[in-house]
Amino acid sequence: MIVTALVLAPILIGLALYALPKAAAGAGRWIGVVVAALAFIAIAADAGAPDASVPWLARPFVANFHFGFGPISYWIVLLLAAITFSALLVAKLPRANAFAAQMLILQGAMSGVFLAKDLLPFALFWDLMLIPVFLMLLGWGAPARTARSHGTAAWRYLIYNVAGGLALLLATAAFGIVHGTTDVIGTPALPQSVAGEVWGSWIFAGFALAFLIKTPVWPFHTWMPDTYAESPPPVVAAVSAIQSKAGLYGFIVIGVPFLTDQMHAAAPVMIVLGLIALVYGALVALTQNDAKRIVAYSSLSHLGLILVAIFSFNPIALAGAVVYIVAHGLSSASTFLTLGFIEEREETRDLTRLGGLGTKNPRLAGAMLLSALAALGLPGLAGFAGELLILTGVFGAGLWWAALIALVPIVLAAAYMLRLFQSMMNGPAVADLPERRDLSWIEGIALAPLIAGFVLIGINPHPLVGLLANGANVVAHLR
Amino acid sequence: MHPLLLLIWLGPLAGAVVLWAFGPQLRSLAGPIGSALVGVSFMAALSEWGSATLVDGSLEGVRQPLFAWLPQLAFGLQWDRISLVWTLIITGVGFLIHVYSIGYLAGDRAFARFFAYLNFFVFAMLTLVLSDNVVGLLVGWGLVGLASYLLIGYYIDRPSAVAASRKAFVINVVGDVGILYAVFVIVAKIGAIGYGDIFAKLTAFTPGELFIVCLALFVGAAAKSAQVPLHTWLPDAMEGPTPVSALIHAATMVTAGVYLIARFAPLWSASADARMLAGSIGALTAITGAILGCVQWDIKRILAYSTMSQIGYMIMAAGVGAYSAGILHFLTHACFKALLFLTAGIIIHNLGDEQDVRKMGGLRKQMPFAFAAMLVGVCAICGVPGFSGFFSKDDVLSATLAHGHPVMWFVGVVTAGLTAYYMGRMFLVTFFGAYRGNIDPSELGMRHPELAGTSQTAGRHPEEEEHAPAHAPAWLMSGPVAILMVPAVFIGWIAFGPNGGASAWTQFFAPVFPADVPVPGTPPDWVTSAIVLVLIVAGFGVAFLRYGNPRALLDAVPRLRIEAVRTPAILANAFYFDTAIDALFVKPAQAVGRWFGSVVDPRVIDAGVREASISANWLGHLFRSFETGLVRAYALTIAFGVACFAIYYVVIGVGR
Amino acid sequence: MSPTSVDFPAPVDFLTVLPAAIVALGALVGLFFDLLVPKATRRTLAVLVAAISLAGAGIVLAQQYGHDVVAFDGAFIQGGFSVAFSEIIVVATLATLGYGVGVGRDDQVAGSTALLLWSASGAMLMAGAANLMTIFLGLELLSLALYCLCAMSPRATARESALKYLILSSMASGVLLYGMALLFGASGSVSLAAIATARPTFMLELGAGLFLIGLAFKLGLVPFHVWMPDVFEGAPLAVTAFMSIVTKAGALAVLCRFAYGALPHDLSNAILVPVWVVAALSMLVGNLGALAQTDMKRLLAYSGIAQVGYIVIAFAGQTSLGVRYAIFYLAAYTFMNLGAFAVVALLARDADAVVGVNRFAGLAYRRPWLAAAMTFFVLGLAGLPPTVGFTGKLLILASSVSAGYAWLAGVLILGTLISIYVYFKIVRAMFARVDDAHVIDEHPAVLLPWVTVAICAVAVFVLGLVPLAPSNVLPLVR
Repeated sequence: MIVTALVLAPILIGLALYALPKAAAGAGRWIGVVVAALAFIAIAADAGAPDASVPWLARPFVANFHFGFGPISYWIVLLLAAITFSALLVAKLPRANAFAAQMLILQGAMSGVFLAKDLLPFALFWDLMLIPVFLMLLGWGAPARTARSHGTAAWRYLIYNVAGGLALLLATAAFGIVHGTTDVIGTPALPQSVAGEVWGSWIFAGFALAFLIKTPVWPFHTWMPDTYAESPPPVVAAVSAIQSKAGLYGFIVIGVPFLTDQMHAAAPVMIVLGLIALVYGALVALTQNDAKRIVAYSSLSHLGLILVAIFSFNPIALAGAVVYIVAHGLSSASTFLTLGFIEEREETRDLTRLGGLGTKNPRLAGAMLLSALAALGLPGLAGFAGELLILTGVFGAGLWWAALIALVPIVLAAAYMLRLFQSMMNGPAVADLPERRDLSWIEGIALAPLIAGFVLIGINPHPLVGLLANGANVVAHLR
Repeated sequence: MHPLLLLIWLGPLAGAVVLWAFGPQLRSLAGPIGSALVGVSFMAALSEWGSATLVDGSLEGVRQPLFAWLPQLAFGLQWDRISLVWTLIITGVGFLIHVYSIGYLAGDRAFARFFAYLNFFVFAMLTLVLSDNVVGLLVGWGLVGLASYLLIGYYIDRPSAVAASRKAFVINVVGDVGILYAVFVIVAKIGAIGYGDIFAKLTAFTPGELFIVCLALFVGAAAKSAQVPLHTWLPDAMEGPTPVSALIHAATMVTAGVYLIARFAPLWSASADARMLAGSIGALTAITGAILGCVQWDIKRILAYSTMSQIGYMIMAAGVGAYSAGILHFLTHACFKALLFLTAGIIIHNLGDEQDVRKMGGLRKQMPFAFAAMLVGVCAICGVPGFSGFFSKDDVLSATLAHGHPVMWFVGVVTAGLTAYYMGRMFLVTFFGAYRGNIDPSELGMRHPELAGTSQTAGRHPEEEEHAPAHAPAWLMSGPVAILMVPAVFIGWIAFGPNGGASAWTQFFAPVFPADVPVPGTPPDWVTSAIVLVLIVAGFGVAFLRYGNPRALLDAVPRLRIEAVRTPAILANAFYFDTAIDALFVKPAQAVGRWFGSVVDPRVIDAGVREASISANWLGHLFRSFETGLVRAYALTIAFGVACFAIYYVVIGVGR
Repeated sequence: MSPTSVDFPAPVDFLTVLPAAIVALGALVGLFFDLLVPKATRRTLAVLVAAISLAGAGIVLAQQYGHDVVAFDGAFIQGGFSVAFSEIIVVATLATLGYGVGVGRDDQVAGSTALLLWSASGAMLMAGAANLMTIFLGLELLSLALYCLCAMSPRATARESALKYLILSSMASGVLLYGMALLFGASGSVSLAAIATARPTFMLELGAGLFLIGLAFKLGLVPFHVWMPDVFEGAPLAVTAFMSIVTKAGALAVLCRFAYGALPHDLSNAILVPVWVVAALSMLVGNLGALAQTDMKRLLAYSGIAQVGYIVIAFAGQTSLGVRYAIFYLAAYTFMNLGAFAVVALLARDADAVVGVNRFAGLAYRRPWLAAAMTFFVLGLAGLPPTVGFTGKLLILASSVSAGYAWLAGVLILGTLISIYVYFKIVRAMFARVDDAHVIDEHPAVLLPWVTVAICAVAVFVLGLVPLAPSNVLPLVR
């Protein structure tokens, strides 16, 4: 019941916001904030909520609208609610009602992806969550230098991801034909039928393409820096924190249990791709001057690490992957929101033009520093917990060389994250920058849950891992 | 459950949080609060002395489990002799420096923030030394790095400080990942991270793995303790306020490497290769630091290089296996180096942020207190008999010889001579001869009463100058210095037991470290002491001949200028370490990154997709160009299609 | 010959064609009244009569849904299959009436409406036709009426399109007829069932091939699609919309019945290969062609070419699932396409004005609900959720994969990917920020088109969640 509500309520309320009278401009935003907050409370309060399932297809294969909490999805959805709350709280954009509506629709769609226990709804919401992002990129894309550029970013985002979505759809259809049902997520692995062996590799290829594009993993990543750079902060916070995890989540809950052999067969390639993304992203982030692009490339780097973790098939690494998924969600969301505050104040995010903000805005600088430290994996913050678990597991899986290579980007991360922070906040104050007020209370409240999140998880991530250890059949499939 | 242990550990954290959150409201109260909390920790540590030294069967000291991430990763505190020594220094010296800072930074804009950071550092350092497992140590390791970063870059609008802080942090992260790799191996082999578990299962490691672990740990130690070639951040770190240099970059944090080796003594004892490596690097660092110390003119950089050199001694000692000797030198060094830095701070403070010794001179008249304090410090660091340095340094050197490393011993001995030279040089140039600064000497005397400690120019920021000068009582700065003079002289004596020799200290650590057994044919300790003594005298002598004789100091100014010019390029460039690191790592990484970002991404990877969409559009327009609107053209197309069908059917028809 | 040898069809046989008859007669009634009532009310009356007759036909059809009834010696079969197609035809015709509000001047409306109904009844005949004669009868009735309808506009392009349609279509009819002749020659019978059991000969193959070409032309499969864009562009909007559904529905019914029932088993796969090829071509070329279009009617014509390709590949392998999902997707396409046309009609100043893609610029800010509806239809056409287009496409993929035609599924995916460019060009136009928000003066929203839009939108959503597909479809010939 609550699970279904988590998916449907935001979408329906979002659509309803369009009906608000022009006079009530801005009310939509607050409604959205309240909805997100309620969602958060509901999830936190009712972790043991039962699944909800409504039959959809009986032929050619069984498919149901089946939703429920999983050991991993629970945390992601919780995180999603928190981020939607924060993002809407600080969203200062024209046509606020429409924007809040789109954000709510996005929240519902993404909840659908992660709560779906059936591959078909999973694929449905997978495609559905593209549309609000596309529309928000069109309607509220960053005030770009060229009139078309936000359009092109939206375009590229759509084409790449729909390509993935279609591959996913085809693979899902084939999966259903082969196994007779798609209502499998969270159930024990199915017996590998003959057809499964014939089609298995094709089905895996379809899923893998979709997941790699969505994450994104090198070399499917070129849509991502543009999208992140051009989207308004709330959108990029949600996309980078949650949407980018859908692919990795898919690998864990679909690939590992149901395409085990193909996963093992593909592991070498995937690990190499992950490592390339890891180093490549870090090196590019080192030299960018657009603050948002730096964080975008750092995401490329960090998510590559999670891919390596998943394909090392090691329980500790998997636990680390889950921790890191949440950790990266928190840190990237807070980083992008803070960058949003800075861009909103200084009307630029070009590192060569910024500087010395910290002297006059200590609170803003503090928020930025904490986010940057969380992103660069400072011990004691969530990112470190994830990295430690992942790399320990990867090493334990015998991939000592992968673990060794993965250490390099950690050093690079320190370099580019501090460059990002210092060239905005430290150094002599830049004359021609407008002097604006420090972090406001609202903005502080928006960041508080995220920062608290990555501090607490950094101290002791056991809750995340524990729930996994109890409920997750995924670990069982890792040998 | 040990409440006092938790108090020692978390007290400073509470201070950091409170001061960070309510700093602006607390204002000048911030200093006393911060200092008090560290003082409390010190008292608690003293009162817990007993529980640290109790030995119950297997476990040495006290363990306090906290929580576990995974079964393999359980966290807790460990309170034993090693953590005791470090805790006492961190909190004790830390307390004094906190108090000193109240005076030093009086009236500074971010006064509260400074103490928040300082408290945070103490907490982080305590996490490092109190943790009962390697991951907890790594956490503390990273957090002290952060504290060091924050405090080096404390003057956030000073570009040089900002750059130095980033450099320090990044190099320290190199160390972190080194330890991280050690953690991987340990968890993979042992399945646990607690020191006790690791040492219990040492046999699980092959010699190769043992060496890898020690190597990985040593990367961490080298980065944190400024060992060659990862030392380049330490001189730059002097951009931080002088109390910070005293606490973090002299007394405590930079000695974490020594702690690391001592803590993992069982591993090191089992790997001769690793010990050889550590010892050699230590010796190399000792001599390098000493040589570079001889050509510096910035008083803080001189002290920084001397710190580097002294830590070299400690690492060398720990490396050869004389852990207790290394710790003893850490103990004495923490006291006299803090003393030296704080005294230098007083001088700098009163000369209006002047750090170049060439602009000083003859200060013994204006600042007799600073003169006395500096004299004690110099004697201590050079190892003048009776002063603390004498005992620890000779202990280190004779232990090196006793463990059969004559080469390292020789290097150490030479270093001792060089130390005497550059410290004497600094001392003479600073306090003797004529005043060469730009402040009128008479004014100097007038502005600086006895116990020069008050601050007319407290504000570090230009815009602070027009603020009413904050008046901090003189004793706030001179008091701690005075107190530090005592251990700087006497703390070495604790090495002596009732039965003479350095045995008492060694016995104190007997439960932790295997007793040192001298290799046969080692000359008695007094030989080393004698040689060192000779060299110290020689060093002082040279320094006096060059800077001490009255005639020289008449025309000191031009001569010092000439000497600066005559410094060999290789020394002036500190053996080109920075240049090399820049050329080997930084520049290539940036070049590759720029190439990826500006060429590979847009023109190679993205090109494929872009071309696909472009060609799709092109095809679209191609088809459109077929739309001639002419019926005959359409008819022709249809006819073509019909023909194709027909041919197909003919073919399959014939085929059957 | 004695009167007894003539076996007159039983009354029950006539019941099977009752729906078609109702529609056809409704046209006559409309024409009759048209002579009596004053000019002002003619339009309303004509549309009203037509609507009533269509509704009646729809109800009767609903009664006849279920067990197949074979009539006229197997010339006509009424049951699940034909009823499903006929219902779709009825709905489409109603919708075209709905927002076309009659075609042509007031004094033409009655006539045009009658033609529309006759054309529809022709398509309904095709849906049930089980022998070559009936098929040809329905096909010509459908086409002849359409030739006239296409010309029903003052624009010169309308007449041009009508003429093109006439010429090319008769050419195709010729091919079709020749194919029928060969089939008759090869089997000695006009009944599809008989052809299926005939001795497989080259003549039969060729006949089948030519017959299929004729259908391919009516369906507008590449390369027999060339007439379609011009004709769609020229014809009045309502007629275009009508053609885009009804012609295809009729032809699809025939193609399906022929492919499933009328081919010797050992030959059927070999004979049908070219159909799958042209279907694959249509999915690619249709979408590629749409890329370059700026006029909505041409764009939808091309998208229609691709959409029919999607439907046809459902027949691959001749599985029962295939038929059901083809019918389901046709229904889906009906609502999505008619909805899109309805929006275009609302944007058009008058009944047959030209509407370019640029008319959608900033629509989301001027008329959000209309933009939302259009987005919905376009998502459906692109096969994205939450629409019936998503479900329909999934089912077709599933059936073609399970039938072993995965390569067709792959082509479908590729074509869909291309179509994203086409359809989201419209979405982008509607939602992209227009700096100078110059409001183009639309004519005030007309009621009926709005109703059409609303109904279609609801259907597009609900059908996606509740995929109804007729269950009792096979066997298609008896």
